[in-house]
Amino acid sequence: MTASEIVKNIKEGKTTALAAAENAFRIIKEKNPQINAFIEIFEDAALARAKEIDAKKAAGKKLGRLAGVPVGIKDNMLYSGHLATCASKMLANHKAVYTATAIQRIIDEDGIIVGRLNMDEFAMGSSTENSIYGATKNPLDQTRVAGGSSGGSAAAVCAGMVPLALGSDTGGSIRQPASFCGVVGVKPTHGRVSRYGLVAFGSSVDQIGPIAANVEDAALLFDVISGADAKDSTSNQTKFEDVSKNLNKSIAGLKVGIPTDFFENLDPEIKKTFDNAKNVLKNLGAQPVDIPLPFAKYSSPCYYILMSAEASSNLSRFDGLRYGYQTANPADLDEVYAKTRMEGFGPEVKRRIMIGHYVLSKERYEATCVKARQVRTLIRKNFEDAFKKVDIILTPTSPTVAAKLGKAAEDQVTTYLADLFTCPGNMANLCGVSVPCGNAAEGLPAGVQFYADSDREDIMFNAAYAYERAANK
Amino acid sequence: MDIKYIERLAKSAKLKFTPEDLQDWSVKMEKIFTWIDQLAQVETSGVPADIVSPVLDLREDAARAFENIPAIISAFPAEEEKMIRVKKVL
Repeated sequence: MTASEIVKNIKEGKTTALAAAENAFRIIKEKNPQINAFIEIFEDAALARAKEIDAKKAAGKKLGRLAGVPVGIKDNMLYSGHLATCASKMLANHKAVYTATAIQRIIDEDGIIVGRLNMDEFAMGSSTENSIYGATKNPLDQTRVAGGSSGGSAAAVCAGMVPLALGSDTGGSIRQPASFCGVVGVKPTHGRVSRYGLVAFGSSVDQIGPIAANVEDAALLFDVISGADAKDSTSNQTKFEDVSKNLNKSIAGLKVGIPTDFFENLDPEIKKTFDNAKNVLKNLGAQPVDIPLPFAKYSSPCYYILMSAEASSNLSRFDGLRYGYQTANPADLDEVYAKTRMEGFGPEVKRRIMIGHYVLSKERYEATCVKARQVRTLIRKNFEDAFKKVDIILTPTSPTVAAKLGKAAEDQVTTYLADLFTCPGNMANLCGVSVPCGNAAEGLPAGVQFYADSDREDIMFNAAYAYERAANK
Repeated sequence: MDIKYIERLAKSAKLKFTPEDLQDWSVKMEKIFTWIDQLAQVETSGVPADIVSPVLDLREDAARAFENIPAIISAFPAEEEKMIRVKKVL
């Protein structure tokens, strides 16, 4: 059952929140041992909460927009009283002392938080293999990765364990796993969803967003978690209308930008799914328009410079003195720092910290950080110019389908290049959603990505919903 | 890439690799550094080094009571009367 159906059925008395929660735990217990999406479930608390929601309904009180919907949360979000480990040895015993705004808003709307979901350590990775809990497997082919870093969130929704999950996206970490698992994943514009309670990685680009089985459910969760928050000074104070109200609008006449200089050497089967998606939109009356985005190809190196600089600064707090893990029997203070960090962080996190220190070093700062900020300006300008001519921009979500387990990390630069279509959205501060668009190589799902300009989630969801309905007819 | 350079970067990052690992790290990091250095080919004269501006609504610079003080105190190794014990460093 979708989230929207659960809410409707509970409100109409056709099912109960308890039944919905019990069903979620039944599926989790059946499938999770193979998939490893959930790393902890909160069964007792969730069932107790479900009973409270049913009692609320029985008392004739108004139910929230997510009444009785089981929701999973990525392990880098704080939920008071529960572990929040970022899938890292460094924070293996870290218990949250407050609750992230996005999670609190779900609870306030009577959603039920059912557990923590696996991820790449500190959200650094594209396969959910860099985790102290082991890899999450793709439910559609368990020999393959679920994508990352929100791989647990995408796999849990794909396997039907929960209808909704929260992920976080810094360079594609919601959209790429959504694409690999054949579900819908949304990266909102920076500032639309509060980052309060999200463990910082690349603060200028981190965003919490929904992962769902369909666009309608993703819009529902987005409406709940988005909005101004006094606890996050980068949160957008503008009052926006709910995107769910705009889903059914016709997209006839919508101008769809097709980047002309983005598709060199694209896998033919991914290209085929993309072309099919383009044709579906054409049949709905949308107008494809070729657009140049000459600087977008630099988004990935630009991203890896700026994100690593921010990440190395954010992660400097993990030194054995304040948070989390501390090495045993250090000889001196230098060893407290170095041994704690060598033992507490995995290889990918160390790699990003090293990149961060390289780009922030006195001799490389101008040529890397300053240069990347200039290139980011050019990338943003490309998109600003494009959005003067078009309403949305369409790209594949990922240049490949899900890789075999253990193969994704063979070559680092190749792995980083897999963010080709998702990084531009983070660098130009767009909103983006990945929607399944059929199968590509070896029958594995591919995703098509709808970009809209900053804060135009209304247009993005509208186009994605229209596409999804037409494609599934 | 010069191993001494990687060692120096590691030191600034408060990391310490074994001599054997340093060799491996220097090869892998060089490949990544070469890749990100491709930005040098982009002509950026006169382009402002702006990041996309975040929406800023700076809150008042004032102390606020945290709502869950017992949870913070429980994260310390021990509490004795009005004192909290911090974890041992050395």
